[in-house]
Amino acid sequence: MVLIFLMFGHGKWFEYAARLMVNYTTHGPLIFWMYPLLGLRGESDFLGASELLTASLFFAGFWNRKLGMVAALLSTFTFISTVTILPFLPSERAFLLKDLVLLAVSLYLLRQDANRVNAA
Amino acid sequence: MKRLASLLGRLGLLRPELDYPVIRVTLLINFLFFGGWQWAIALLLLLGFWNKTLGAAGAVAGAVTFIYTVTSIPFRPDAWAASSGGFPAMGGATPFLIKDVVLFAACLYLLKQDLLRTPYRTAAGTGLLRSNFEYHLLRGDGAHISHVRPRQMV
Repeated sequence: MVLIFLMFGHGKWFEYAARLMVNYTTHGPLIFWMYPLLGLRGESDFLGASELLTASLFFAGFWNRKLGMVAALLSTFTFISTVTILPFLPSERAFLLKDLVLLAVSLYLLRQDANRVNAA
Repeated sequence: MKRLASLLGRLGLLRPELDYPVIRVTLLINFLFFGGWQWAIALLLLLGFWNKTLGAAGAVAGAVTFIYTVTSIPFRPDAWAASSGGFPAMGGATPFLIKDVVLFAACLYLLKQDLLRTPYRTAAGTGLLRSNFEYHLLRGDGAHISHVRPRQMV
């Protein structure tokens, strides 16, 4: 997850990924408002920043369970946002179908870390 | 933080029995959608609900598939978006393929969980069944840090 959030977070600071991404986000029932509100690059920068933050917290989670738990929570929100696009996407669904697994993994990490925080 | 963690528990999000079937089903859906011979992997993963040996075979086949797709990335001409400064900015099919790093890790998670439920538990010697192996793998996905001390499972 560290690698995924680093790679996707980095790309979103550039025009290329920002243009590709809008094709998906405008169909998202939870995130459709971002493009009209923040604009093409604003939306991309916002998501890029939140993804790099998630990557950092996931990495810190190797040593700190509380930060890992927050990362897993952010990641869960991210993939709920992308998976809910699926029913409304006219084509290229395979790209977002993989996010089902990424959501499952986020919930796995959330459980692992939150249970360790609860037990501490 | 502690209150957040206990809230998550009360919401029922922390039930340990959920991960294993949910990760299996989400991988299965992906293999079904890829189509072709990968339906065979989907079938093995489905049978894995009842037969852990077949499930383990499906997880190995899935992991091999994802090693193939992920290692193909640097050999693709449009792998990195030149307009964004090249590597590590992803271009072409790379955003699609890079997610296979997590899907690969998820296959190893399933493999370990299935092996633990078969008589082949002696595979522990390979390190695959070491405690917390899949936990660190799923978090790092390539940024796996081997010097992290294994912690007690809770």
